[in-house]
Order: sequence, then structure tokens, then C-alpha cells
Amino acid sequence: MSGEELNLMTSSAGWNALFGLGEGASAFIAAPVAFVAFFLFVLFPLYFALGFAERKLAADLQARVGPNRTPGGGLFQVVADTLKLGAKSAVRGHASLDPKWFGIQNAILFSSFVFVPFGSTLILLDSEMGAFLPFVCMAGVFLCSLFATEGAAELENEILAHRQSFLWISAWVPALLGATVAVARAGSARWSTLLTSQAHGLFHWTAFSSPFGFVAFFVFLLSGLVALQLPPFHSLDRGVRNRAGVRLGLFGLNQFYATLVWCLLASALFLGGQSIPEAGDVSFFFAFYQLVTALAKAAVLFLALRVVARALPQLRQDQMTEFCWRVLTPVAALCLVGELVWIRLFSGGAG
Amino acid sequence: MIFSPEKLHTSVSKLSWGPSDPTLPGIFRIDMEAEGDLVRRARFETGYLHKGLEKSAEKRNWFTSIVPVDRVDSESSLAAELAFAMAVEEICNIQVPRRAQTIRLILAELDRIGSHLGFLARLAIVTGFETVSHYILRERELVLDLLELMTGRRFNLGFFRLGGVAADITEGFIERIHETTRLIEIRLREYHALMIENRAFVDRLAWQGVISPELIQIKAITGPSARASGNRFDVRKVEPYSAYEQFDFRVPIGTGLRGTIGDGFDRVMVRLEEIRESLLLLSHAVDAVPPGDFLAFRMMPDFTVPAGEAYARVESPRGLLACHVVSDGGFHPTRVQWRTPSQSNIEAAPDLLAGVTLQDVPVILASLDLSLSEVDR
Repeated sequence: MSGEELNLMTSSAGWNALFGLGEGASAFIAAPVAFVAFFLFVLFPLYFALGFAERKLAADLQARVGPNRTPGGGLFQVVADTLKLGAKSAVRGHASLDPKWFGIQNAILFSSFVFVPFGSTLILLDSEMGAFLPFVCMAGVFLCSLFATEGAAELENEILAHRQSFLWISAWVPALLGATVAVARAGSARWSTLLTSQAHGLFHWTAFSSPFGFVAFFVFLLSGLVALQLPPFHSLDRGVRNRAGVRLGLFGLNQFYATLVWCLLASALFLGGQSIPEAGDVSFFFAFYQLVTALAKAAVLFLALRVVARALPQLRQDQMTEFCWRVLTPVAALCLVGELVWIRLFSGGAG
Repeated sequence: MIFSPEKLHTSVSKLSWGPSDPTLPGIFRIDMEAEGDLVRRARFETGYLHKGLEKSAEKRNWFTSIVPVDRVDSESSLAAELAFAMAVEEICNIQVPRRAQTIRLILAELDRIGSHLGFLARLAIVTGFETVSHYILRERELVLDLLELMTGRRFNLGFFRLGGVAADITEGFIERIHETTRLIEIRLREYHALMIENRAFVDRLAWQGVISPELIQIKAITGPSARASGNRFDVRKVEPYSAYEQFDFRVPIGTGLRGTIGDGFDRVMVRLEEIRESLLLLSHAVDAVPPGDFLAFRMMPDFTVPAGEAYARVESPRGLLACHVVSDGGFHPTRVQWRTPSQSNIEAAPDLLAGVTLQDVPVILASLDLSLSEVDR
């Protein structure tokens, strides 16, 4: 693939500006640099900071003190938790997830980084199908879970994985339909188009441009709760019982990453993303502003999701699946049809 | 072929949970046969917490035998203390002063409220309702504070004595009782809104683990678990003790409000109602404490009990708790035996688990309010 063709698919000028790579730098250089920098300077600090903030907020909500034992008034609690989980052994026998599938699953999960819209100039793969590509990753993640436990030593793991996979599918469909509402409004699934179409104020955001967009936003968030196994849609142990050691330590980080990405997607699809009217040149400050805005919106959504989720009881997996198929999917489909009609009636068929 | 029927293990499979498992309400083991994720058969294995409490009480003198008695159920230790004290008092023909009887009633009801709040908190945790469990534990702390104010301890109180109680009512205790009962009454309305009006919570419990009247008879289930199935038996009404006959109170029973009579949801409702009744009973009882002594006599370590035997029963928070004490006239009991409500409940559990999904197992077990300390003793 030539550099010219590649440029057509990327919108990574912001990453180039952030790392001083020069405007014409290939995405093949920007991608690994951005990925490593994101992990070291964004994901890890956010994991610990938001983990602490969530725990403190949840403690306030639950009328208890919250973390206060680690240095900095409990600031390092998530570090301590990660170390503690990393040192744990499996509750029931040995962890039975196939390491090969576990590795592939992690690779698929973190490969979603290239599809995540951190800003209209911070998208590593800005294809015509951009908004749907994270769903392909999601499908890959649940298929890995399914394959990983096939023929597992403990039947319980296998049953859990099968149930989990069907649950994911049931969440995948309404989430995809919800995302399609935003795509229909923007008229394209390309992230840069989706973001710039919402860049002109609050009432251009998908969630506030029509009642259907508003409902679709909540459908997308609820589907995320199911897909990410957050309360009330979490299974009994969220798979913790089958993990031990480093895998258990990674489990928290993976879940955090998945939730953050989901919040970034929700923000980009429904809350105007982080786009502001186009500047002439993409400067370091413009790109930095986009990145900070993206993470701030995602962080607020993340905290809201996690804290509100803690106030809800747990549903059984069959109840969750039923809820997804019977409520979320029809509502999402109605939203899509309603949005198309709304666009035809009030926007002159722009979508 | 990846998903061949042989590989999917669609036939009956064997699972084993416990003895130390965070989803179980205590230290015991369940061996289950499951068809898919439906439990076909469950077998319980207990004994991991055996402490030899009955034998331990027999090895001590009458003065110190209250210590192992406390450990029958640490969460609601006063019920066992009361049953033991009543049995020995019957053998010795000791008349307990009316003031002491009322103090016993007050503490027993506080104990009941604390135990029921603990039950609700545990159930909230099992159903993933972490926030509500913290709220409930906050209120239970208030109850434990009151017990501490009166007895100096929060668990394993060791406060009842032969012929009365260890100390008179502490200064400020009655005022604190009124304050706390008012507060818990308000908070009960919050729990009602958070749990009973919450469809997600109700769906986890309604129609689950239904205890039939036949099962109550066969397994001798008592207490709130039996009352949730419509059985009105309550020792406090049937055979009043410790001044219960002086107070009017209601015995709540299950009505099948959201599912059917005797399901897990009814067991929650009955306990919530019992907390309300206990609060009313408490507020009446603290205003009616008669003047007089709090102890009939001061027992010395060389105290002896005449030869004889007695069987005393009380309504513990978990059901009928009975104590059989035999004395040969010596310095220590010849035999101490317990009949505990959790024993009956755990014997009924395999019947309740047949046909439910694996995910419902922890919820049904939590709804039975098992105390493995009582079972293993």
C-alpha cells in the first residue's frame, strides 16, 4: 500500500503534531509511537487516577470511608490492588483458560486502539467503516472467550464462556444499531466525518439533535454495561475465579481499557466527540486540546457509568440476555428507523 | 468439529463448590450434579467448622460454660445464652427478677435486629447490590454500638447470667435505643424503596427456593424461613418467656407479594417486617423496664446445680433454638445439647436447589440465613 493510499485512510496528523513527527510521517511510524505513549502516559496514569476517583466516589455513595491506607490518602490503592491480584492464586484449581487464546484476546482488545477516535486529527485508521470496526474487535474478543474454554477441564468454565458469548452477542446487536443511528445522522461511518458533523454546538451532537439520538445514546451505554460486564449486568464473578496471578492483575487493566474505549466511542458517536471547528494547521496545542477533551469526556462518562452501576443489583445472565433481546434491540431498531424518518423530515435527507 | 456434542459435555456433569468459597454463606462444601447449568442434585458436606462446643461446655464449670455457649452463633449469641440460662434456671428453680427478664428481652430483640440486618446485607452482596449492603451494615453498626454500650462487647456478648444479667441498664442506654429505633425505622423505608421496589432485585428472589409446608414438616424448619411459607410458629407467642407475654407484637408471615408464598423474596419480606416489629417491641419494652434487681443471686465458681435435666427453647433470629442441659449435681454440666435452626435449614437446602440454575444457588442459600457455626457447633 502506497503512502498516498495510506494517508487517505488515516487522520493521524494530530499524533504527528503531538510527537513532532512532521506532517507527512507515515501512520506506520505514528501508530506504534502513539500506542506506547498512550499506554505509558495516558492509560496507566488514568487507570490509577480514575480507579482512585471511582473508589472514592463509590465510597461516598455507599456511606463508607473508601481507600485511605496507601500513601497519598489512598491514591495508590489501585497500584496496591493490582499487585495483590497479581499475587493471587486461582480459587478453584488452576486457571483453565488457554494461554494462547488469552494472548490473542488481549491482542484483539488492544488493537482497537487504532480505531479509537481521540479527535478528528487523532485517528490512526479513519476508514469508511471506522465507526463499525470497534465492533469487529468486540466480536473477536468474545469469540476468543468462546474458543479459549472449549474442552476446558471444568465444565463450569465452559458453561460460563458459552453464556458469556451469547450475552455479548445480545449486547453487540443493540450497540451496533445504536452506533448506526449516529452514522445515519452524520451520513458516514468515517470517524473524521462523524466528529466534524457534530462540531458546531450542543444541538449538533447526535444525542441532542433528535429524541431518537438521545434514546440511542442510552441504549449504547446500557449495551456497554452488558458487554463490559459492569453491574448490574455482571456475572457472578466476572470470570475472576478462573484467573490467577498476572492474568488477574491484567484483568482489571483490560476491563478499564475496554470501558474507557467504550466511553470514548460513546462520546465520539453521541456527545460531539472532541471535535472543534477545523483549524488551518494541526498544531501541537490543537492536537493536545483534542486529546485532553476526548479523555475528559470519556473520564466523566466512565465515572458516571461505574458509580451509577454500583448502585444497581446484579441480574442473572439469562435475565440480561432477555433484557438485551427484548428491550434494547427493539428500542435500538426503533431509534434507527425513527432517526431516518427524522432526518428525512427535518434535515432534508442529509443523512 | 469444534462444537461437537461430546465436547460440549451436554450430559450430566459434576461440580464441587467450597468448602471455602466466596459465593457460599459459610464454610461447607456442595457437590452438585448439573445438566447444562441446571442443578439436578446437590449434596452438602458440613463439619469444617466443628468446634466441639457441646463437649467444651461440659468440661467447664457452670460459671464459665457460658463462653462456649456464646460461640453457637457468634452473630446472635444472646439467643443461645438465653436458652442455656433458662434451662439451668429451670433445673435450679431460680426465679429471674422481672427487671432482668425485660433487659433480656431488650437485648434479644436488639440481637434479632442486628442479625436480620446482617442477613439483608449478606443477601445484598450475593445479589451484587453492594451499595445497599453498605447502607444496611451502617445501621447494623448502630445496633452493635447499643449492644456494646450495654454489654461492653459487639459479638459473643457473654452477658446473660443464671438468674439475670451481668449488669444493670447503662446510663443513656434507653435514650439511645429510642434514637436508634427511630432512625432505623426511617432507614427501613429506604431499604424498602431500594430492594423491594427494585425489579432487578425482586427478579433474583421471587419464585426462587420455595419452601413448601410439607418441607417445613419433614425438615422441622422454623423461624422466619418457615414463617415466610405461612407457618405462624413463633416460640415467643406459643410459649412466651422473658417477659414476652407482657408485650403485644405481630408475627409476620409470607404473603407471596411478588412471587409465591415461601419463596426467597418472602423470606426477605418477613425479616424486614420482623425488624419493624422488633423496633416497636423495643421502644415499648425500654419504657416498661420495672424497678428491682437485675440479678437474682451472684454466682461463684464453685456453684453447683442439682441433679436433673431441662429443655429450654427460644426464638432466635434464625428460628427455634433449644438447649438440653443435664446435671448430675456436680460443678459442671453432664450434657449440653443444642437444637439449632440452621441445621434444619441446611437439610432443606438440597431440595430447594434441585432444578435451579447455578447462578441462583448462592442467592437461595443466602436467603436461608444459614449460620454454619450453628450447624457444625
